Formats: sequence, structure tokens, C-alpha cells
Amino acid sequence: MTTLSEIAPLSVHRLLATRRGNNVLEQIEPKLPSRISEALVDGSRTVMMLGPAEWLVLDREPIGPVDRMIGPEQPLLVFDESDAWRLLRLQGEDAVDIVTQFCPIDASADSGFKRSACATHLARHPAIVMPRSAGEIAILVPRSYATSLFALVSDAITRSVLPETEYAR
Amino acid sequence: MTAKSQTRRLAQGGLVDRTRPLAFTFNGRAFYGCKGDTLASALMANGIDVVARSLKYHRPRGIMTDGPEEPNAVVTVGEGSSRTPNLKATEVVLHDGLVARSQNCWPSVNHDVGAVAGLAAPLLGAGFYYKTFMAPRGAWPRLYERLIRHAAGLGRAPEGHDPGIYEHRHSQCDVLIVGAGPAGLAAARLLARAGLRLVLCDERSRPGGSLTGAMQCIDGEAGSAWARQTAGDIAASPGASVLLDTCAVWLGDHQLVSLVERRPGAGSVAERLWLVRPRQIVLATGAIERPVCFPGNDRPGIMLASAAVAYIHRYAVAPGKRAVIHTNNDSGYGVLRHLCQAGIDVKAIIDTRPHELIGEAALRMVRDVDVLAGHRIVSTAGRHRLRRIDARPADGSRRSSVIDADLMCVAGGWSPTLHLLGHRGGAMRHDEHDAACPAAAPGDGVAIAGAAAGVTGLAECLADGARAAGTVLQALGREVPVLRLPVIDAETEVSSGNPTGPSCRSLDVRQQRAAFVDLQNDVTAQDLMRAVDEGYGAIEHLKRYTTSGMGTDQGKLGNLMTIDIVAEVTGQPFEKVGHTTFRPPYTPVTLGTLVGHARGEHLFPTRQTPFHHRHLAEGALMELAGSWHYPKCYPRDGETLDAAIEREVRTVRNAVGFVDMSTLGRFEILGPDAGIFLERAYANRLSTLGEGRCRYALMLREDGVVLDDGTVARMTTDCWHVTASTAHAGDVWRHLERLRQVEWPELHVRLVDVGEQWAGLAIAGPRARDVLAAVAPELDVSPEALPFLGCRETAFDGVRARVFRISYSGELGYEVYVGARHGDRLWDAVAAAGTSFGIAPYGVEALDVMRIEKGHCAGSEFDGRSTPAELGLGRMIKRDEPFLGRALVHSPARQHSFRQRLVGLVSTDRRTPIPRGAILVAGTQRSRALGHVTASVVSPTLGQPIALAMLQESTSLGDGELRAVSPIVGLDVAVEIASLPFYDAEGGRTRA
Repeated sequence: MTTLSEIAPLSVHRLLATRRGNNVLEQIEPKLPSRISEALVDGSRTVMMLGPAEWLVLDREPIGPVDRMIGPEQPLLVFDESDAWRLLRLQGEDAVDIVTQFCPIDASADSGFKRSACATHLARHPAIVMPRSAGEIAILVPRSYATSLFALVSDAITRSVLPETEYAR
Repeated sequence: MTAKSQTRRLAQGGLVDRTRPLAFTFNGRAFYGCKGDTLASALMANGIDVVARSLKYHRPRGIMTDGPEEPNAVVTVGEGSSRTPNLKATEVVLHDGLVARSQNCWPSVNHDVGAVAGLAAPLLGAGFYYKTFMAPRGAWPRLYERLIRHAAGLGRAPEGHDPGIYEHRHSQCDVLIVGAGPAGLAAARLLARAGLRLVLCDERSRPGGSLTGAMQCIDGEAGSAWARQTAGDIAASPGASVLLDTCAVWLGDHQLVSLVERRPGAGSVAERLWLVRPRQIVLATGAIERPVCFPGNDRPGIMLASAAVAYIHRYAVAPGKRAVIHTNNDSGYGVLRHLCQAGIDVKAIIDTRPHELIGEAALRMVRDVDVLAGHRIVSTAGRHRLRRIDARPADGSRRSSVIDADLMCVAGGWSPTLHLLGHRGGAMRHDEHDAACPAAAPGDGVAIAGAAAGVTGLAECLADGARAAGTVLQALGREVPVLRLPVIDAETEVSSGNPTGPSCRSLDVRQQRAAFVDLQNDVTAQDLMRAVDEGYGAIEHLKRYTTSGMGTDQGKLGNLMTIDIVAEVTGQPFEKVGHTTFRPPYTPVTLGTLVGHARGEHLFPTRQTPFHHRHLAEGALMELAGSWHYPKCYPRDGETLDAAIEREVRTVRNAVGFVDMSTLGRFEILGPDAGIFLERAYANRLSTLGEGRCRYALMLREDGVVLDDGTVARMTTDCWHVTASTAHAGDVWRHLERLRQVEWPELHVRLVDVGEQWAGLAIAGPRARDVLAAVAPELDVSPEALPFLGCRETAFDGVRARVFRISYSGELGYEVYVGARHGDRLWDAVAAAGTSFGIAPYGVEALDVMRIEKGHCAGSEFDGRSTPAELGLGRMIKRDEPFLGRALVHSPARQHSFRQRLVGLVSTDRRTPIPRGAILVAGTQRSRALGHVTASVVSPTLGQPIALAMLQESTSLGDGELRAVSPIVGLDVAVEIASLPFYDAEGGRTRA
């Protein structure tokens, strides 16, 4: 059985590297992922690289002393976007199948999907898809789209997925 | 009862499950089939000969093939809103309760009134509609068009909501193998062994392709059993999927392949569209057998030889009792033993080739059957089923061989199925030996295997599949695993034989009617030759003129015959004639499948503001403004829409109201070069803006046309807050990011879209200051501390807030923003603070009324054509600094007198509303439009209709009056030009 639920409010911060930041990013703690769509998980905190010089930090707890991330010469601009996002959790054996109804994401084991946070569109809803564990996918969606996406995914769960053929897996 | 009704079902054999009968109806009659049947095989098992009527002449048609190439058996399946027209009976998998009907016939398929069209056939040749219906001219709309519309079309589209559920699925894999026949399976088992992620798809319900319709043995077991076992092994491999009932319908660029999975009766989902992105593709799509062209080649009972074999072995159905095999190649001889095995009496083999061209292996298969070599069929007889065949020597002698038969198996050679390759522009060449068109080159990322590559023979196809797999593995940089090729029982192999003869000789059919090349569109060889005589020698022109190959089967059977005939008639080589274009989809796809989930409430994504539930609680009448759910107005008990809008406007003008502003685009521009960036991006001066100040700003495109307007506020030295209109927020964001990343990468500036972060309310009206003072007691809201176009960062109830003193309504106004999760508290605070003043929320309609009263431009004026000067904003444009759009905004063409300008309009009688979108004309000169009305309301404040319009600058009305004419709503209103704004021209209320 697959379920969709909303996870309680989070801390979400966007980090933007300034030009000056390019030289000092390596000194920043915690370490930032260096490949686009890569996600590093440390306890309750997930840091993901969304694009060139752009990261998003999620935390179930308040994010803590921001200036530690800013560093000595302001290599990073930090924006509190906690009000801009809602986090949905898709859980169950059909979770990946449901996500792939709406998005051409490569969810195979050797694609690095499990360590990724992919900024994409789910049926034209902007979203960040983050696999958490086997059968669990977190979907970070802009606040204004959340209700629409929730209804869409819920419908997909309700009608379930097409019974597979004898051979298909 | 079930066995009794299936009079042609063989007692033994086949792959159907006789223990699981399935009830279905056809043309209202109840029948039974078996699990594993298609509708075509079930109809054939029940002795149904006439399944459909042809498109033009309404000739009775039976089942000719067993696959997607079927031109005849086109039916409607389902009832009511679940009805699907134009399905090929050969592709419809039988399920319990299936309802099917013939189409294009009345009152019944066996007695069709439309068949009288056949009497007029000599007048209805190719392109007849281009030459007729010319006169009398008046008869076209009254008579001809009605008749043609009534007669045209195949089936009826369903009405009402389709209850079926359709879904899309994306997939990525290393290799996609299209076709689970011998070559496809051979390729897939090797690729699966190599550990690749693969998808193997096949349009049929069972794997095996031709193996399921034959008697060949592989590795000591029946071919169908081997295929089933092999497919199971492949599916069990890690990362491999086998999709049956799944047809590849389109091969696009960048290796994107569309598959359609059809699962009637399997759960609630009717069809699924797969969008597969493989790194490599193996096309093992097999080959399609061609018919032979001869007079009367469309009668029920005449079918492809391979189809007859398939019905015998796959579905255990005897397609007839007394058969003739008509062939032009050796493969036709292989059919003989299959027919005999099914107890069918084979009367003769008619071969168009002379005896010396027939292969020895083929002749060895013939026992006790006459071979009429070098013969052609001159006629057939039989009303609803083939009854008699008349064959004569091709040398012109009149010695006639009349044969009584109810089944003719035609074997006209094999055409590789390369439609998918054609979708991507893949070229084909002509192979004279097989009279077919295999691929010239498969192209990057594609390998072709088996019969699709022109390979014949089971052993050769298996080996070719393995070869294709090796090619794919090498392309992927993988080692080729060692895997034993399956062993074929040599006695079951059929030799590929001698060269294939022509499917059609023009001399044979020139004077004969009813020698069909395209059976679905009733195109005869005579039609083709007539078209060539009329000058349609180019194959693409001829296709359109005759409609050959333009049916739902896309001419899968007739295309090569068409080219053959044109080549012969024009005396050109086959290559010179060329090939028509294969266009996607390979088989028809329902609209539901293409749409998928995107219908009803999921047609497109919708957005809600943080105040959405507040709007609903206040009884708002909601509407979709773009993708946003937005309140139109808040009608109170018994209030009409107009009354509610009027009340809301008066509330703002006389007291105070508030409106949700959360849909605006909002961006933060940061960095030491942010001011320079904005100075270049906007057309008016911004770099001089001081901290805590905001300004109206105009953004142009490169061509000098207005892209959007908004406000720019300087919160701190390096932090700017920019707004964009709701409609253009996305465009403005992309525009700004492009400028930052591409045009001016040297600037130290970063952009952040903060639209989702903030919840915003605009408080407007003479008492707005009082309300704000109560809401934000820490903020000094006095005109001195917070003047017009001032902005402050402050605290609201302990959380961060931004306040801007700007107004869209023309009243004293403030916009207040807090974090979205605190929106409810802001709403409550504003409502509570304004209670004593009679505060009320207002919707987009009241907002629109007030902006028109103030003469503000919005989306209907920013229509992608207007320049700042035309909109009365020319004075804002800076003259001395560069900005995007400067080069063209000052160009002479932009200043020309034919350009339009924004004006205000009032109706001359001050009572009649001015229709929105109306065309402006001068007096009675209706032929020349001078402009159009962009926005119109009845102003509650002014008590009269007012409008904004774009009017030509050089308008000279002469003695006439200006009129707003709307043919759509049937209104013609005399109007006068009025100065803008209509309300508070000095702006004293805004600056209060």
C-alpha cells in the first residue's frame, strides 16, 4: 500500500555562492555537495546542490547558527525559504512507479537516484524529488503548488497502478 | 453452447484457453470466444465472414491479416462514453463482456444501403471530389457538403466523459528491444545475460512473434513454448522488463521512444503511454507480408498466407474449408502443410512466376496439389464470401482454370517493418531479390535485427538477434557474453527461396475494376494509373491525390504495390520513384492515452495563495486567473455579482478594504552591482533610488515593446525587492536570470525568487493608515515617516514583515508582506483592525474596476505589441543611460503616426456599457479599424460606463463619431474620448 502525507514544517534555506565564495567554499562546514542533484544527508539535515553555486539546506530542526555557513568573507548568501516550501512523503512499494508517471527521473539503483535530490517537474508542478529509503520518496514542492500536486498524486495512488503483465516487473 | 457456436474452432492446437470462454457481442449478436483470442480470431471462430464495409464503395470486407496492418476489419468497441471507434479487430484483445460493432454501414453490415455507391464506382475514381461538386455553386453548402459530411469518416467519436483511466510512465534503460519475436528474444537474452537494464516490448499478448503462429521447434520444444520460457528468463533478470500488449508507436530524436500499453479489462487503467529513453535501441519489428493485386482481391475469405497460418496455430481457427494459395515467392509454399494440418482442402497453388523461377525446395513441399505456375487471377466471385476463382496463364492465353474455394491465402512477399526508423528519418533502399525496402543504414544508437533487417529463416533471425545484441554491447563498451545459440529443428525450417515476383502488373489490371492496392481507402490499381496519367507522377503527390496509404493502417500493405505500379507505369526505377514518409504513430493512439492524467481537475497545475481557505471562508466566488485560484469577489447573502463588485469598490473608495496580493511575482536582487543590473534591465531610472524607497518600473523587451511593469524597492544598499505582475511573473524571472547569466555575467549580482515565501495583503482606502497603525504598532506610519513610495522592514506580531506604501487602487494604500505561514495572523489582524471602519476584502473584479478608473495599464494593455509611448508611459523612459530595449524604443518606426495610444472612453449617452474587445471605427466607415477597447467597466464611483482603448494616434473622425462595434455581442455604441485618469487626476488621495 502506498501513502502520501505531508511532513511537518521544516527549516529550508537557500545558499547562493557569490563570486568571492568560489575560492572559499571548501572551507565551509558542513561540506556542500559538488555535483548538481547530489544530496548529502547528515542526521536530520539534507544539503542538496540545485544548480551552479546554488544549494538548498533542509532540516527538521531550526537550522542553527547561520553565520557558520556564511563564513568569514561572505562567500554565501543565505535565504530563509521555510515558508516557501512544503514537504510531501510518498511511501510504499509503488512510490517509484507513481513518481515516474509524472517525471522522467531515472530511479534505477545504479543511477545514483538514492543519493540524489532532483529539481524537476512532476506533471508540470515544480518539485524536488528526494528518495529517502527503499519505498520512500520525499517531494519538496513550492507552497502554492502543494495542494494541486497532492491531489494529483493522491489520485494516482487511489487508482493504483496498472496491473503488470505476466512478465513485467 | 460455447463450442457449438464456434463452428470454425479447431478441436486441438492453438494457444487459446478453451476452458475459459469469454462472452462478447458483435453487431448485437452474442458470441463466445476463448481467453487468448483477439476479436478477429473470435469472429472467425464463430463463422463471421463480413466484419466491415469499405470506406468508399461499401464493399463487404472480412479479416485479411492478424496484426496492425489490417485494412478491413475496422470496428467500434465499447458503448456510450467508453466507445472507441476505428479499432482493428486484429488488435483488440478479447475480454469478457466486450461489445463491438461494425461501422460505416446501415442498416447492417450484411445489408448495407451504402453499397449502391459501388454502382457509381466508375464515376468515383481517384480525386473525383476535386472535379465534381463545382456546380451549381449554391448547392455546395446546402447539399454537397452535407452529403459528404454524412458519408465521410469512420465510426463515431464517443460523447460524454470517458470513464477510462489513462496514465503515463517514464522509463530509462540501457537498451529497448522492440519486438519479442525470434530475433528480439535472441537479442534480449544476450543483453540480459550481460546485466544490462533492458525493456523488451511486443504488441501482442504473447512473446514469440512468428513463433506463436508456426510449427517450428527450438531446442527441442515448440517455438511458442521456447519463446514463453525465454521471455520469463529475461523478465527474471535484474533490471529487465518485458512489456506485452505494448506497441512502440513513435521513435523520436534523442532516443525517446513512445510505447502504448493496452490493457482492456485489466483493472481500471485502460491504456498507458510509456516514454522510454534508452541508450540503445534494437528494432526487431519483423516483417509484414504483402498481398497481391488482382481483380476482386478484397472479398472476405482472401487473406494473407501468414495470417491464415497464425489463425490456425495461434488461435486454433480454420479460416476456410477449400483453399487456394496465391503467391509470387517461395514462402507461399510453406503455407501448404499448415493448411493441410488444419484439415483444409488445398485446391491449387497459383504462382505468378514461371515454373523455372520457383525454388526447388518450395516445389518439394507440394504433394497432390496443382501448381499453376505463370498464372494470374482474372476474377473472383462470391457476395459475402469468396466462392470461385478464375485464373489464367500470364502469357495471354485464354485457357481458364476455375476453382471453387472459400479461402485464398495470398503471399506477395515480405516488407521489413521499419516505420519507427522512418519516424527518425532513416533511409531505406530497394532490394530487388525480395522486392522489398530494408534499411539503408540504421543510424546512431539503433540496431536492426531479424526480418526487419531483411533476414529470412528462423535460424538466421536468431543469429541476427545475437549479432545485434553484440553491436549494442560494443556501443555501450561492454563485453559480449558467450551464450549458445538455440538449436533449430531443421525439418521445420522453410527455405528463403528464389526471388520474389511482382505483386502487381499494370497490364493485368489496367482494364479491371476492383483490383485494390489500398483496401482501407478503396484505392485501385486503376486509380493509381489514372492519377499518373493526370500528371501525379511524384509519389507524395500521388499519395495525396489518390489517398493511397492515408488510412488508419497507413498503407502498411499497399505502399510497395503503389510504388511498384508507379515505377512500372512511369518507366522509372523503383529508387527513383521513392518512398512515402512514415509518420508517427505506428498505429492509431487514442486521445485519452496522449492526454493521460491531464484532464479534469488535473488538466494543468493550479496554485493557491496562503489565504486560499480564508477566501473560501469569506464566501468568495473563486476563479482561475492563469493557474491561480483567486477570488473574483465576495458576494454576501442574495447579492448579485455586480452588486458585490460595486459594494467592494465603494468600501475601498469610502472606507478601507484589503486584497490578497500573494500572486504577484517577487524577486530579491542582491549584490554590490544590483543597482547597475536593475538600471540596465528596466527602462526608467532606478540607481538613484534611496534606501527605504520604491518606484514604479517598466521593463522592455529587446524590440522596445513593454514586457511588464512592477515596482522596485531598495530595502538596503545591496538588497532590492522587485515585483512583477501575476501574469508575467514567470517571464520576468526567466528574463532577469538570462540577463544575469548570459548578457551581464560580469556583474556581482544574484537573484532569488521569493514569491512563494511571502503572503501579502494590500490595504487600501482613506482609513488604510489607521488599519496599518493597528496592525503594526511598532511602525511609524505617519506620512512623514512613511511617505508615498516608501518602504520599510518591520515586525508584525513578532515576525518579520515588509511594508510598501504603494497603491494600485488610487487610494491611500499599503502592501504588507509576512512569511506565508503567518498569513492567517495577518489576515485576522487586518480584519480586526478595520472592523470599526467597515473593512471588507475585495476581489480581482473590484481591483480591475479601480485600476481602470485610475487608467493603470494591465495585461490587456501589455499585449506584447505596445511601446511605453503608446501606453502614455513615454515620459518614464530615461534618455541618457543604456537599458535593454533602448535601441528600438526610440526608433522612428515606434514613433510613427499609425501607432496607437492609450485613451479613455466614455459612452456618449453615459449609460450604455462599452463592449470589451470592441473595434473602434469612425462613423460609418466600418471597413477601417482605428483601434480596440482593451478594458471596460461601469464605474460605481463615476456612475457611468468607462473604458480604456488603444486608438490610432492620427485618428481623424471628420464629421463622424467614434463608435465601439462588437459583432460578437451585437453592440454598436457611440463613444467619446476622455482624458485619463478618470478618477483623482491629481493623485491627492494616493499621496494623502
